[in-house]
Amino acid sequence: MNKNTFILTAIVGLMCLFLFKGLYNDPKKIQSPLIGKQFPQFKLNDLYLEIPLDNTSFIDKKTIVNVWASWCLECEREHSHLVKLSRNDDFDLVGINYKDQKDDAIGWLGMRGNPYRIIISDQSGDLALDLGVYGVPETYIIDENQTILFKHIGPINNTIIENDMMPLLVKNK
Amino acid sequence: MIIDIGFIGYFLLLLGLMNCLFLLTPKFVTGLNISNSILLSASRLHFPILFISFICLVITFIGEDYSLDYVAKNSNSNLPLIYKISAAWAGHEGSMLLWCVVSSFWMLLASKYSSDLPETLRTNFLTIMGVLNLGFLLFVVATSNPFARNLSVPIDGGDLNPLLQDFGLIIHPPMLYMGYVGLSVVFSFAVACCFEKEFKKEWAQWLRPWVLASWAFLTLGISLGSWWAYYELGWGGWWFWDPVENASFMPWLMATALIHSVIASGEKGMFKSWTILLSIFTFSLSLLGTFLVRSGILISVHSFASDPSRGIFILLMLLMLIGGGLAAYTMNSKKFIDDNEVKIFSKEGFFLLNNILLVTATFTILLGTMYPLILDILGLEKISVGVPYYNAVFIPLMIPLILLVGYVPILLSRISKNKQMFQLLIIFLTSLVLSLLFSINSILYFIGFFSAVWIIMNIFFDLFLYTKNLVRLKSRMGMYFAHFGLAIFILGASISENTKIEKELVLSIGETTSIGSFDYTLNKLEEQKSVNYDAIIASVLVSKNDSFVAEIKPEKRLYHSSESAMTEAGIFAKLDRDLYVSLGNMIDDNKWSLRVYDKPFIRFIWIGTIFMIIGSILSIRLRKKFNE
Amino acid sequence: MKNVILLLFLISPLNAYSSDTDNQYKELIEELRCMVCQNQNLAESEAPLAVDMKQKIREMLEAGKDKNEIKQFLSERYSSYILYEPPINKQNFILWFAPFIFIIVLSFVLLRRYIK
Repeated sequence: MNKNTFILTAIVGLMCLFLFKGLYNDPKKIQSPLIGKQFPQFKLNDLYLEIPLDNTSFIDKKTIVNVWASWCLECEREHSHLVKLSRNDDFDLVGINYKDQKDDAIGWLGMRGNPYRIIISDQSGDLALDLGVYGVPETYIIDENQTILFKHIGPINNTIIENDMMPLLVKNK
Repeated sequence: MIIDIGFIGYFLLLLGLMNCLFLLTPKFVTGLNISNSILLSASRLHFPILFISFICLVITFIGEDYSLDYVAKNSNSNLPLIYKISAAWAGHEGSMLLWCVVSSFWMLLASKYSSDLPETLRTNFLTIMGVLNLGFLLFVVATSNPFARNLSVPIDGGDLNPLLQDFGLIIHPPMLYMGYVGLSVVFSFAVACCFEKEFKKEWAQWLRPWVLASWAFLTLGISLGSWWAYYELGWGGWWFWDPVENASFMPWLMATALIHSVIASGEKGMFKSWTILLSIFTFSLSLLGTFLVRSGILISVHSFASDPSRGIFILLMLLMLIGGGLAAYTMNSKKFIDDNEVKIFSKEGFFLLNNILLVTATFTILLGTMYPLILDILGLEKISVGVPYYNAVFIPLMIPLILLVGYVPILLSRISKNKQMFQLLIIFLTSLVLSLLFSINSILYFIGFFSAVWIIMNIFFDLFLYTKNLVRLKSRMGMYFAHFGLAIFILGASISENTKIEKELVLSIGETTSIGSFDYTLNKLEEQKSVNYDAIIASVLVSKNDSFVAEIKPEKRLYHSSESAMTEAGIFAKLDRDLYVSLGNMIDDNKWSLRVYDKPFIRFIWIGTIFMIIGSILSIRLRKKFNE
Repeated sequence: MKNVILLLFLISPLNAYSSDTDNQYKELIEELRCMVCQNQNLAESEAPLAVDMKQKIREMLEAGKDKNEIKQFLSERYSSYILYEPPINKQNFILWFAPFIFIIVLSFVLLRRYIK
């Protein structure tokens, strides 16, 4: 076997190996570059009280940050899970209301219950952009130092809560 | 239903599978006189069997037989007849069956026109084609059977993706497949030559028309695809460097290289081993393209349903074919000895440069297509490889190639060195002046314009001044057409890309705005109901200096069955300019957002490809006679 | 060798300039990927996220930010996946430079074998 063809065969073999692995790979999954970074700085109002909120509004606990809007159908699907999570005192739950009307948002929560301790009102979508939000709903977990540990795009469900979120939230308590 | 057409179709499919086994007879039953005639008959019988099976599939679509899962998913009773028929190959299963039909058709042709070849070569060649056909058909039967039944029969079908309800789609896939699969003839022949340990001049000459024909079909298929994307997607673009486009472009580039190297092998017995290797890789890239498209491992505008088992099957075939082909090549590559040596400053020397550039270009596209996937699998940061990358890497490779193309007529002309230099200088200077006059706003525009003019001038100089010899002219006609087509294409691409005007705007009814040298008025909007969709049709009046030019009617369609909205661009097309309007969203009651594109000479892109196709047909026809 | 030099020359950012905001905006939205679409750039897309991003890009340009700053801003938030032009860094080294190596090796192999 001559050297050139050996190299060719090696390349072809390697490519097939990659293609094979590629078959079991989800091409749409993109790791957020913000994992491991600080939660972005912000100065926005509280949805209900319209008092200014900023990074100091987070408390000294691990926090789930959920981006939602009243116009978002998928948010409806994950809402009961959020309500359930809000009963756990080990961590905090903060909402970001994304590009919404104040009255709609308050009305929506009034009907379904408010799981959030505070809700940051992000009508312009600037904070969402800083977070690299694709659309609503999205869920983040940050630690006591406001480092982003986790991001999920789309509605959360039991599997995601049990497998991905809980280990991060209750670890080394 | 008394006669179950779907059943007949499936039966024929299985019969085809049996028939494939007969194709392997000479390999199992050796030393028997009839084994070769069994092979020959089986290779010709395969096409009618599969073709009728495919017709059965079409009939089930026309007859709305929703007991077939594939029919139920891709058609419904409201679809116009023509789209019911074309839906037969719009989905995965049907298009793979079409692939098999096309493949059997090529095998029929190969079997028919190969009687001049030596017996063992012919037997090996047809057997390898048989193995390929067996593989494809096995794939259809095992993983993508279009005749599979539904457990419960739905009352009506789903829908054909509205994007695909279009004339372009009806002919784009069959043409592309003709090209892809035509290259399997080239592959099989190359591997058969490896077994012969020889690649004679006559064999290369025999191979040449097959390469040209596949290339012509690929060109047509790609060109149709680009034209379709241009008017159907509503973005006014004609090439997106999308992974699926790349998948068809890679074999095209390789086939272009092959066309040239096979000439050298046929005329002078040069590059034997290289031509064989190129043949093997060209078809491998077709298969790789199919794999990439069908397995759904890449993100692309064409979203095909994906299924890992299908991917694994194609991957295994890919591995076996490339592996088998390369193994056959490796064991024998040293035995191919060229009849002549190559001088760099000759036709063949140029072919070599041409091949180096084209193969590198193919490699670049392959790298760009695969790189994100490789990074992703290695767990590194995911990236996108798009237009800026390809512009930066692909175009620089093409520039020297195009300059070479222009130089070829002078190279071939049998005039004295001094005259050559003189002619070269004149053409160079005129092209330079012309390009400086017309294209001063960017370097790339200048280079594109200059190279197009350079090719055209060279061809015309040669045609009108020096080629008095009719026989020689005939043998070059194909090349001139193809190269002229390339020049026209480059001209179209560089003018339209560099002088286009693109505007997004909001107009209320009756409002006029001026873009470029034209005034656009949103005249009115009408609603229209069609069989399977409702449409809003805008009327945009175009005028220039207050005189009427055209009425453009972009549409927005809402298809009933899938509830999906589609933009149908309105195009006013003239040879030298397209005015392209696509309707955006309604802002309020009488305000609409519009995209207006003014694209000079964009038609030249597709006209150029037509010339290329004519060139390859002439090349097949005229060169053949010339040889006789 | 001529090809290699040409390649070298052209790989360096050719269209680095553009004077006014409008042109910069157009160039930018063609070089950025719509993150929620199949395979479209921002210019082609009407998806809500794409519309927001275009708005943001316009604002940033008007605030005097240049193309590279905006690209960096977005890729820090949405990963380099958003850039259709992959950055030249360690990870993408092969992508950008393998074509050079390939053409040199191929020329070497073929020319040595065939040209006497």
